[in-house]
Amino acid sequence: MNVKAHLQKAERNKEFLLGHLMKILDKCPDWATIVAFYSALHFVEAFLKKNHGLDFKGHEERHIFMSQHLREVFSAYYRLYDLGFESRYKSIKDAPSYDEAKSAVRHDLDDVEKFVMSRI
Amino acid sequence: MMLEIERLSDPFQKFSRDLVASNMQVIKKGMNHPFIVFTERAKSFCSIWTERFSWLMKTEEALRSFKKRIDKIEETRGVFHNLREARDRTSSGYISDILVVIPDSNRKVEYQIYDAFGEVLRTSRPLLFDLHLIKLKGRKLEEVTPKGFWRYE
Repeated sequence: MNVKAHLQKAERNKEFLLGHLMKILDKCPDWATIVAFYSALHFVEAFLKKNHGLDFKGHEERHIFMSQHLREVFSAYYRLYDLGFESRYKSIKDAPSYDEAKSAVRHDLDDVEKFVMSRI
Repeated sequence: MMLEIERLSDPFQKFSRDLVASNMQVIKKGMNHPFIVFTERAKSFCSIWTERFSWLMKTEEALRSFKKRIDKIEETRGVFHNLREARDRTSSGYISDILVVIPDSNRKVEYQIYDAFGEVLRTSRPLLFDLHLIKLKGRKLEEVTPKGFWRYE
């Protein structure tokens, strides 16, 4: 995907998150973190494509690069990745709570988006 | 012949450099055996052994440094580790999966752990690592640690 396509995906995910999931966050904090992560992923992918011409085949490879070149938002992005992982693969007991999902969207996703959009 | 790292059940810290050196000496002696077939096999095994061990030692160094930083974060309750085969993605042939256990969600603590992990990634290329946090939420350690992971002390 090119930069524009990544940004469209990031925005589309964010709109669905803010327009629908956040209104029923108490019912689906896990799904909110999944969509928040995929929005952040596409913001980051757009940044990597535009500024470095890179595509990564796996999360682990992307994380190595981010730890060096997106240090300012590495923790915010990784928290979204981790919460999204918990939601997708772990038990309901392990799923993110309402507060975790809320802070992930309000702080982590917001930080990643601001970082990317100010440098793209 | 493949070295099946996923079957290694002991913690890395049991593999000291001295032990590796001693094993290499034994294999080198074996390579002087007069039978050609044995020598070729020994050479092949030696090459795999040496190649993997250098990665394993690098992994151990990275884990040790990560653990040192994690130990400074009071809220953590343990670090667990496992290896996952990934032959076509990295020269080492495996990804190190790391779990850090904390009592419950705490964004500040989580950021400290992710920050320590970022340091590992920056300093241990081209090794691949994957970190996930586990929140106890009132459960015991034994209840939350997935099969195949061992505690990194």
